[in-house]
Amino acid sequence: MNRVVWESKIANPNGVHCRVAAKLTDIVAAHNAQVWITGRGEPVDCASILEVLSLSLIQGSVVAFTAEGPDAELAAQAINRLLSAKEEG
Amino acid sequence: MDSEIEQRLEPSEPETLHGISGSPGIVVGKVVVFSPQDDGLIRYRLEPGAAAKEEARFLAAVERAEQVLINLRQQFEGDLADTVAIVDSHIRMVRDRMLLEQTLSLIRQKQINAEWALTRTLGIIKKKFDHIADDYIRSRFADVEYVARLVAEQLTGQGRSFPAGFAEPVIVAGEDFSPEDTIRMHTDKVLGFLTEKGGSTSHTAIVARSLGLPAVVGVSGVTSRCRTGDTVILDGYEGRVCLHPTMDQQRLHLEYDRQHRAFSDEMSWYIRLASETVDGLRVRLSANIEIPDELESVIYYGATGIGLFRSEFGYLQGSRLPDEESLFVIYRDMAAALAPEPVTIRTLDIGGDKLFTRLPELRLSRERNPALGLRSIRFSLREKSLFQTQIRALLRASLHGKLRILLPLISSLSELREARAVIDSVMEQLATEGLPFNPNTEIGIMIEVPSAVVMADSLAAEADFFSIGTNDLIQYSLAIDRGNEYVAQMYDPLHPAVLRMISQTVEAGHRQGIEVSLCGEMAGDVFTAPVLLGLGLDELSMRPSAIPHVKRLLRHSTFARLTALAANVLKCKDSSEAAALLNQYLTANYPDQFIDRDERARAD
Repeated sequence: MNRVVWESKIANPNGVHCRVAAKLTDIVAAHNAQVWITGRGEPVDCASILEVLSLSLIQGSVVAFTAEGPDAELAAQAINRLLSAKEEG
Repeated sequence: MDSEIEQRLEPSEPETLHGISGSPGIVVGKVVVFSPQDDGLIRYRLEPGAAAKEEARFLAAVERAEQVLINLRQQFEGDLADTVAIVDSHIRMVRDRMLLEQTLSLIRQKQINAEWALTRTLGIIKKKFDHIADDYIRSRFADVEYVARLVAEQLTGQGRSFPAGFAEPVIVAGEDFSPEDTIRMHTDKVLGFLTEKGGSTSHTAIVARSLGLPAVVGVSGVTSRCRTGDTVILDGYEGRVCLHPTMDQQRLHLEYDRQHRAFSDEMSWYIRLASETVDGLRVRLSANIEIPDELESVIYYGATGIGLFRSEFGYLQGSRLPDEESLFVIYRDMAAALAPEPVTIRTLDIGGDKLFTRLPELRLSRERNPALGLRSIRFSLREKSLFQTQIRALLRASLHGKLRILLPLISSLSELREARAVIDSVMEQLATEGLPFNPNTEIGIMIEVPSAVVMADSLAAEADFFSIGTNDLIQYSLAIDRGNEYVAQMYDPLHPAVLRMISQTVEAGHRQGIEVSLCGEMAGDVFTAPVLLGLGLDELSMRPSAIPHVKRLLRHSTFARLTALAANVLKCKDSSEAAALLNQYLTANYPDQFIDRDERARAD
């Protein structure tokens, strides 16, 4: 099974708010992969916007991710692009 | 281009809508329109095996809510990118695992209905969000709440939001307001009430009168004709609403209101005078109240005690039932504030339908006809521990003034005996525990069921006083639901049957030497009060602000004239004859311009 582990730093000044979180869940839904945020208590499923929001990921925080599945690589890249962007594109 | 804008800004034409006067007074202000339904969701436990069906119901509601959002998104698409982005995040939330799985698992494991499970899920999510340090993200819980409400609306098939507060005092408009609604709105922020449904005795009207706020009820189409933010004149004297009024109209109405208030000032003269006729017949004029806050106006208007405290107040608020101690404090303070005048407290007069959602642990089933169902004293005698708690609080407060216990909806002697047995056993209990109380506390009964009128002689032998509740007595004996707009006009206090029942009850009570009081709306209406005074009632209990008006009538009358009037009215074969006699009497004894037009029309 394809498995990718990486870290992203949150660049958006407002942190992972609703719209960013919505995009994150969109990316997960669009790829054949499961994605978790780890290292903050129990792993958090990135398919759930509420789970992601409730982590309160603010600007500058470094987040550890694990992706599993055939599209793990692609999902990881897309998520990293999203979170490293200063503005939503 | 410019002229087009100007045209659009031009105010709409003034328009007058007619309804029923619910509570007097004139106000000019902005309207807030409420859509129909309470925010209180139905909560109940599922029947065994029903969980799967309930899960499906929930999922279907989620799907519909999602569709609502998708439609909304389509409306904004193209020009409002920010709005679309927010709607997009709401679409994610409505399908979110946390919301769905949690709710589904609560339905399955706790065997509760979807609305209840959803509310609990929301509570769980809220806890998670409460821990968030970042203000901006934490405040996004509002979005989660919004989404959950959308789903709830799909579950119940209704939609309504109930804003908690307003920026400036407003006139609230809605289909109808339940007492819970009006109690929740009881703030300085409400100027007046406006409803589509109901008559002058609907709950909205009663509560508005007791709060001294103007109300116009039964204005059909008002919630669709008015939009939140519109300025209206609400004329509670005439039962009219003027939409988009001109400045002149606003001035005229406010001037009329000033005249009225001047008359009220004259009325305040009567506050300190004794309530008796020229020839010395004394009648106690007492107050009906719903909430302890009204105590101030009871004292201000010179009431000779409280004839009816509707004790439901504490039971409809908050998340749990009131305990003995908090009830005791309310009762004690009330009795002490008015001592030595009597304070009559009616025990819980609530329907199972009201407590159904509040107390799922009672496992009450839905009733087809709550008005004829498990309510009031019947409910108290079934849920004895609830009743005992209230009786304990009442008896413990009985030493702090002249407190009287009033049992509602008594329909037979055996019911009265059963209730008295509970009270006796509570007295024994208190004595054993060494808690002081007045063992001679008077126990009276409401006469509001026709069977109680027929049996009044037997009941009088075992009750310490009677209190005739005409609002319900009229409904039960004429088979009229006063809140039903189709038949509300048939609700007729002057129906000869009603007047005879009052007269029979007074006679039966007096033969046994007990006091007979009357606490319906009739008591505080200057049109009907004279006949009640003439029928020999010992006490009339009414909203506090009506007391000076009825006292003015009493002080301008003689015992002989009042009894002659009552005797003549009793001979009437229909209510229009009775109304004509009363109208004649009122015209001779009350300033003409302040007589309610509706009631005069009835007599003409």
